[in-house]
Amino acid sequence: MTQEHINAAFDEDLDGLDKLITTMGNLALSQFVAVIDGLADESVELQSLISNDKKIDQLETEIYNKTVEIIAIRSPQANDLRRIITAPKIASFLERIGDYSKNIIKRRNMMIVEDGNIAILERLNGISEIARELLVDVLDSLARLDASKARLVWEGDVELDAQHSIVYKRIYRRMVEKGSSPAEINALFIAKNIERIGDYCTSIAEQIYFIVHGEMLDEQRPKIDIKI
Amino acid sequence: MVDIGETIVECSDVSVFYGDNKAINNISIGIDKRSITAFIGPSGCGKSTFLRTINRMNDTIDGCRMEGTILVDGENIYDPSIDVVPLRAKIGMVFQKPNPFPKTIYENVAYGPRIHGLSRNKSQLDDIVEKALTGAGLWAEVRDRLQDSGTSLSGGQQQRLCIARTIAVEPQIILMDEPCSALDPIATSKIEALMSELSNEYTIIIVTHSMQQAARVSQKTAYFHLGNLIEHGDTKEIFVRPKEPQTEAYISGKIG
Repeated sequence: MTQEHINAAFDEDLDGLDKLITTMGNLALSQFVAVIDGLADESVELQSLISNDKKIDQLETEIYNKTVEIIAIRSPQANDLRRIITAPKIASFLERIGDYSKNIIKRRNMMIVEDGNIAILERLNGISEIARELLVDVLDSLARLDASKARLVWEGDVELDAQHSIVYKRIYRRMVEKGSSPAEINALFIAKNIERIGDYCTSIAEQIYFIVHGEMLDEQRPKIDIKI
Repeated sequence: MVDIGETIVECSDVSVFYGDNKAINNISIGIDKRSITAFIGPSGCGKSTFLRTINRMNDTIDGCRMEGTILVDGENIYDPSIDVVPLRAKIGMVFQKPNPFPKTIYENVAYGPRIHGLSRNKSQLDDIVEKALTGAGLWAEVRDRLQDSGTSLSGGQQQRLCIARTIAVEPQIILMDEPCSALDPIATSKIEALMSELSNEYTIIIVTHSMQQAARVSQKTAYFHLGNLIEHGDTKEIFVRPKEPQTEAYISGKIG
C-alpha cells in the first residue's frame, strides 16, 4: 500500500513484518536454488545448507510474534488486517518449502552414501527449473502485492504437476522393467518434494490474491492426475 | 442474517443546512429493524447531524433546515401533523455525556412514562421503573437506593440510567450519540453488552468515533465524509473488505 498511516509507527510495524517475510522468502529461495543447482553433481557440498533451515524456523516464529503484537497494539482493519493476518500463514508455507529443501539434501546424502551415484537426479532438472520459476515469481508477486502475477503462479503449477507426472512415470517404468533400486526410490521421493514446493507456491499465491482482493480465489485450480 | 431485516427508517435524499452551509448532502439510507447500525466518520462529517434528523432534534437549532423525507415505520416524521414530543419518545436518544435529571433515580425513569400517560397508578409506574432499570442492566445495583439522586451514580451507571429513562417510554428506536466516549472500558463493555441485548427489541443507531466499538457492536455500518454517505453495508464487510478507498483509508487510519 502506498498510502501512509497517520501514525507512522504503524507503517514501521508493517515494514518490519514485510522485511521478515522478505528475508524468510530469500532464505527459502536461495536454499532451494543451491539445492537444485548442485542436485545431480556429487562434488557439490550441500550439507552446510541444512543450518539455513533453523534460521527459517526462527523467522517463522518471529513473524508469528510480530503479527500477534501488531494485532494487539494497532487493531488493524481492512487491507492492513488482511496483510497482517496472512503473514503467519505465508511464513508457514515458506517454512514447509525450507523443510522440503532440507529433505532433498538429506535424501541426496543418503544416495551418495548408499548408492554412490546420483546421476539419476539429472532427470529432475526440468521439474526443478519449473519449481524455481514458481518460487521466484510468487516471491516477486508477494513483494509487489501483484495479484495478477500471483494468479499466474497459481495456474502455472499445473505445468510442474504435469512434468512431475512424466518424470514419475519414466522412473516407475524403469523400476518395473529393470527391477527397482534404492536410487530410483530416492529419486522419486526427491521429485515429490520438488512437486510439493510448487504446491506451496500456489498456497502463497492464494494468500496474495486474498490480501489484494479481500476474497479467496474460488475457482477450481487446474489439476492433473497421475495415471501410470 | 443482516440482509433479511425489515427496514424501519427510510431516509430519501436527505440534506441538512445550517444557514447557507450544507452539512448533509442528499443522503438516502435504510435502517434495519431490531439491529444496530453504526455511523462512523471523521469529526464534522455530518454523522451526528444526520442522527439528529431521525428524531427531529435539529428542529431546536436556529437556522437549521432539512430537505428530503424520513419515513419511520412508513410515516413521514416531518409531516406538519407530527407532534415531536411523542415522536421523541418513540425515537429516544442517549447522549455523549450522561445527563440524568437532578432528581432521584426513581424519578429519572418515572418522569417519561408519567408525562406520556403510560401508567394509571403508582404500582404500575413502579413496575415500569423496575422493568426499565432491569432492561438497562442497572436494577440490581440501584434497587435499594431508588430515592438517591441520579447524579450520585458513577458515570457508567448514569449512562445506563439514561438508557433506562429512554426505554421506559417504550421507544422503537434508540439513537446513541457517542454514548461511551465519557466512560471507562469496563463501563463501555457493560453498555455494549446492553446494546446487544436491547437490539432484540429495539432498533439502535449509534454514532461512534471508536472503530473498534463500531466493529464490535453493529451489524451494519455507514461511513460518512464531508456530509456524504460514502459506504453503507454489513459491518463485517466494511471492516474486512470495504469497497470504497475513502472508507479503507479512514478505518485503517491512513492519510486520505
